[in-house]
Amino acid sequence: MPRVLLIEDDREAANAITAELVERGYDVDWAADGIEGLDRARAADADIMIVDRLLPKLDGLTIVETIRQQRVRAPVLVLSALGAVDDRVEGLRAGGDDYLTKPFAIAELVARIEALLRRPAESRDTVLRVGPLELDLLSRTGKRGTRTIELLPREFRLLEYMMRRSDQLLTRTMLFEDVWKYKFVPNSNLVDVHMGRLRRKVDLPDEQTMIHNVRGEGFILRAPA
Amino acid sequence: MRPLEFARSLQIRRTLLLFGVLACAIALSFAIVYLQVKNDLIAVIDGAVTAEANRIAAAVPEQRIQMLEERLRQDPRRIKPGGLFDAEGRVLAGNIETLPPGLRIDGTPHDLSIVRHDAFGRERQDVRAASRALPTGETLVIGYVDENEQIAELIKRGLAFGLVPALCLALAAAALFSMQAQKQVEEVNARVQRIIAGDLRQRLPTQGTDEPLDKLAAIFNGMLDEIQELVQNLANVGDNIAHDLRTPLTRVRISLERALGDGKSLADLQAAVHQGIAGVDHATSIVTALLRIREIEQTRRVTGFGDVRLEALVRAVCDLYQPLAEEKNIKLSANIEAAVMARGDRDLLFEALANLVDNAVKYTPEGGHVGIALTRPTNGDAFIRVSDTGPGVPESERHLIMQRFYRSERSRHTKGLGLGLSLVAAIVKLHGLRFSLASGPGFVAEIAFPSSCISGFRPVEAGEPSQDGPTQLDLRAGATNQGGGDDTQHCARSL
Repeated sequence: MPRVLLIEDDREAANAITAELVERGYDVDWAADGIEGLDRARAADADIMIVDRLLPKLDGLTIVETIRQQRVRAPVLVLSALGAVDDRVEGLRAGGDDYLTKPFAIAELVARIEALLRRPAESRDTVLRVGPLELDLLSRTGKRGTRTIELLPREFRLLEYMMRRSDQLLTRTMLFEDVWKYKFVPNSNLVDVHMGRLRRKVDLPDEQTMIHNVRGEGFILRAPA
Repeated sequence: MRPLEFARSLQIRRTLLLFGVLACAIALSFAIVYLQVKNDLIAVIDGAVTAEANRIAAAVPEQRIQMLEERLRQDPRRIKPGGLFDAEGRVLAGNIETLPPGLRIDGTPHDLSIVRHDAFGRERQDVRAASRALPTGETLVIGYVDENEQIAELIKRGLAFGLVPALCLALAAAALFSMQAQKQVEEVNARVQRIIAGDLRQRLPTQGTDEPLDKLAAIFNGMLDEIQELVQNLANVGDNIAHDLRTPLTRVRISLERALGDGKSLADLQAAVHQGIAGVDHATSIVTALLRIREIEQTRRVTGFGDVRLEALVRAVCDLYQPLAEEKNIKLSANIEAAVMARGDRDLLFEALANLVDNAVKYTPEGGHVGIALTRPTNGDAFIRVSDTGPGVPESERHLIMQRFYRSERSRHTKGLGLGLSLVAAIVKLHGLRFSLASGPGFVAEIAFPSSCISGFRPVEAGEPSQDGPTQLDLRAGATNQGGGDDTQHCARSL
């Protein structure tokens, strides 16, 4: 059971996050201010930390910087009401691994925590495999079983990203930030349309669905049961 | 104005200083004139007395007295005294009372003080005089009154009569100017006080002259115009934010209320909650977009600029929006006539272009066409033009649509935040580019890159293989070597 350290001073938000995470099988430890948060973080027994930027007594970024200096390696997700690109860069530079701007969907938070906990290992394999799906990174071709899949470059990149994170919920924002690497929020429809394209190539009507659309949350690539 | 304040005023001090300098200059020039005149006059006088003394001395003794008296007769101003004295110093003729003591009898002119004594009275006179000892034992003295002192006196009086009134006049003028300036300053102050009190419509009085104070007022007014517009915009933005946030929030409230009252099933409740979340997301996206615009407007990140390949940018945006356009059965095509490298922030420029294309795709009806063109007609400015076959924007509304939140009345029913063009405008402004909108049959948005922003350029021939390396520009997976051959069609190829 992964242990989460949540450092957040807003009790209501903390309760909601805790309830959601506990329901999903996480063990949540909550600290309501900066000093307490830093003490618990130093104990270094959490698998992941969620740190709010604006905290009473000690600022969230200071906590992250301090524990990084003390070689606490657990991934940190920084939460903030400050959403500017510069704020984000600052948060990541302090040692955060991801940055989420308030208000956020709880599904987005969970998806990012899972992504951080299951960060894909730097694999040297040149062929990715998920169930019958195969992606050859050298020849840049895709196959499902024996069927060759013709992929446009953008579709290739999208599929590669998803295959490295199979069975994980990938939100639209995550996809847009990581696959397209743009920092602005596009028309929410945009990612869906691209995903729709890819889906039509990966899942033919007579095949079992591999790319699942989770309503209002994002997408999951899963090997057929 | 209090007297002390007046005396200390800048105008008065400047006037006094200027006047002092002028007075010195005038006095100096007068002194030079005086010295010059004095020297010349003395030379003339000296010549005259010497010649006269010589003339009389050269005459036969009997004529000398006659000549002397003739000379005195021809001197109505009595400035040419003369005298003839015998060996004992007694007066033989002339109007000099006694043989002056210390007289140097050498025939050359000297300064001499004599007493003139004749029918008109007795008077001490300073003269230039030449004296000669005559062979007969007599002494001849020929004088000429030295008028230099009088000239000096005249000059002094002239100076006094000229300079003193001039000083008074100058001071009066200075006082007038000073008071005028003071009045202007007080007027400005009064207006400024009203502006400080919140009346931003106030403007400083100007006469449209070249006067420094007038120019300053004009500059100040320009600043006030800008501030007033900003404040006005801010107020409008505030109103608009309130309005645009109220709309989704009202929807959220209604849907939650209805769910609470009429929600019969779990499905009803879930539908209401989904609607509520959508409304809150909409409100959040408005806030996010606004903060983003503010962030860009406040950025001074010019130092972070690099060389951006505009043709790659156009292709990337085209690539991003291609599926969306196809979904709406809109033909999206890129026409790249030039490879242009410009100074800028790649992400921001992408965002700007993406917004324009997003708008174009959004407002173009099914079956329409959206075109992105990159051109550089001459070696001057380069243009990125996004045109569509949508309804366009009437001329009267064009300047409005760059304002935050504005959405043309006829497009209100289309979903959007109305912030896209404001964002584009902010990015364009940050880069020092120009942004213009035109409406032909559809809508045309154009970003002009002045040649000062362009760091590299190469015309692209039709059918020329693309030189762009990054995978983003490639057509299909694994086709890195083949490149994108047809610049104008590749975006539309999958249609």
